[in-house]
Amino acid sequence: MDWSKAKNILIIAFIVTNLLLVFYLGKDMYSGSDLQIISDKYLQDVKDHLEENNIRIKGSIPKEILSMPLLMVKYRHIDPEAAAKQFLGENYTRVREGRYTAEDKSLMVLGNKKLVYKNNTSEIIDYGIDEDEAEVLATQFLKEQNLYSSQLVMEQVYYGVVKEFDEVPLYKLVYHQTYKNRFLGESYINVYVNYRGVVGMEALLLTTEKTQQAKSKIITASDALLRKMSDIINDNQGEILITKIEVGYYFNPEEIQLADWENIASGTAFPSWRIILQNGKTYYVEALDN
Amino acid sequence: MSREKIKTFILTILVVMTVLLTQKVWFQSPFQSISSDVIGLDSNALDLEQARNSFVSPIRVLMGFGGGRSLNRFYSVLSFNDIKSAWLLSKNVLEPFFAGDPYIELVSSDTYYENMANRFIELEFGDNISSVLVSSVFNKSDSKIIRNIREIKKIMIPANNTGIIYIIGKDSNCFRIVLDNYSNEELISYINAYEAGDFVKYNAVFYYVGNYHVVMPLSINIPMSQIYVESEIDITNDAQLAEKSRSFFRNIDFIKTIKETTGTVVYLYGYGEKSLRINNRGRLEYREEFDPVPSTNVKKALDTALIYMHQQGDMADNLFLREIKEIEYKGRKGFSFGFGYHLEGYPVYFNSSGMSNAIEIEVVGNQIRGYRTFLREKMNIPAVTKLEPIILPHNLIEMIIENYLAESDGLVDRESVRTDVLKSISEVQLVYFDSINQDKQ
Repeated sequence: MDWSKAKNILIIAFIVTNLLLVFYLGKDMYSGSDLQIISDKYLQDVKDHLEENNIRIKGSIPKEILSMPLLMVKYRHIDPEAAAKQFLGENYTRVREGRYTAEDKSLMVLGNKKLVYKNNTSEIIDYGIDEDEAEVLATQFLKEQNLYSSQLVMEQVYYGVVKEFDEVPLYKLVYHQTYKNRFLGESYINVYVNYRGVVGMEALLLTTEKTQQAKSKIITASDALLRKMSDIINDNQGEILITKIEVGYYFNPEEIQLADWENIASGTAFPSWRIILQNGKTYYVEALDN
Repeated sequence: MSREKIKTFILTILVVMTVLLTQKVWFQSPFQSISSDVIGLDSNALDLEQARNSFVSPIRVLMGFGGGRSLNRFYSVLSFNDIKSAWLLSKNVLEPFFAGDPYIELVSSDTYYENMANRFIELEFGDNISSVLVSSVFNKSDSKIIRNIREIKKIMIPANNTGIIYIIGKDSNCFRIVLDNYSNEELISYINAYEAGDFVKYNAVFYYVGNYHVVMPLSINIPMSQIYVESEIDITNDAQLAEKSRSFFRNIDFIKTIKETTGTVVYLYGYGEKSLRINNRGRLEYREEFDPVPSTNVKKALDTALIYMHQQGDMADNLFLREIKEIEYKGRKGFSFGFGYHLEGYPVYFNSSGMSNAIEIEVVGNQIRGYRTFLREKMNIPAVTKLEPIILPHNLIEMIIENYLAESDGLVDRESVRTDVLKSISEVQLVYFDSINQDKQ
């Protein structure tokens, strides 16, 4: 047998086979259904439909079509005694399990994961504190308590009365965690600042464990808006302004009412769209295209 | 490098590329079609009629050896393995009653228990077993027995069967079923052969307080082994958990996983339409929300349950149907089936937060509403044969009486307490009790 000729034939045959296989594998990537580009007209139709229902959107609706993996997350474990020492100093008193006090300060550690800190000191820092100064104080406080990280992003600042922390108006600085520049909910740090400085803090933080290898296609922002439209209308009166819509990861077992959240250690964070209204209300829409 | 060597090298690279690309294609296409139908197939692989017949069978068989009204007459409670042979033989005797046109009359319980003076076999079924199901064993979907007796708890077959059997049904109603021109003495030789062998003798020792039909062994001369069991599901085995969750959800890509601090793992589909919970002891609970279709057919419901158990790989040989309950879901009636299991020929009992059966399955319409399992298996270590004798039941009864007297602080009379306790005993049985006193063992 002429092996040289046989090799030539085999080389050609395998080249053709591989080209067919590459084409088969690659066609889904370039098919119309997967690389659907949302037309501007469709987006405008969605906007018009929302406006007919008194919902306006600040800016444009994201056009991204993405595939994202599931993310395994774990609540950051808080050791109550160590946290008490951190926030209240050495001379703290244990009132009962998860409750600690020291002079004018108090700390609650719920389910070894949620922190609630209050500072009732009467010492005045600055009566004329503004938003920027409040942010500086908050950041400094978080750094002192080893809670600050580059993954923490300040989302919004609210000014008003929050009775749990003070009878007079204060700044509520809302921080959220991020993962690869996408929001990671439900995890937050709220820092309360007024003329007495940092008067309170609440924190519930997640750590990321691993991502699933396979990525799944997610729904578009416009689809998320349409799915959540009736809930938004039912919850709000008058004209509704959506200030932000973005995709990230969401894990909140409390919403499922399956188990006491204090007993939950970890779970799957699903890709989700987050819709934030001007009045501060936030809505999450699971984004997996099932 | 020669030209031929280059060509060989190129060919090798191309072959490797083909293998890798084919692998990618294979895992995208055929693997999906194989895995996507994990649920929904396999009912063909299960012989449904055989499965149903094996579960609609007695869970306890009492054999009487006669002796008239002698206080020395004795009985035997058959082991699990002997139950099968007794049932096989009994079915031959019973078939004409279920297939024919017998005369059925309500009788007193005294009439029923008078037969305990003679040689007999008494077949006891689980709780609330419909006569439709028992009849289905004889391939009869309609019979006079079905029309007159709603549930069958016990069937007594006198050994000298001259066309009469007795059935205890719902609410302990007793029925005499008479078939003309029929006699069958197949059981006589079976009872004789059994009597000649070794077995634990039971006696009716509570007769003097009016409790005639409860039997109890006064001595136990067979060795009993202490058995070590562990849960089939190991909560620390992630691969096993993932495999288990796949059997409940078609597409696990959309399943949320939540782990609790106790080690319990929860899988959720959507916002809880389907949920699967496996606790740190290997106890599994699955629930599904749906709009049920109407159906009150217990036989079809049992078939649905058995198919589902088979799909989950939980159809073990040592399971038995212990009870059936009627349930309601969204205004529709359904059924809950409870299955127990045997080990070494004895039924196993346990108590785990409101669950007393190894498998509990709820069927509404033609769908599974709930599925709970707490399956245990023997550990791979040698059983320990107890060298000390087993505490006899009459000694345990004395302990119960003493405890009651101690708690009542001498305010009650010993004899009246004894009488009350003995009268209230409905069954004495040798079983295994799973104490579940460690994480999973």
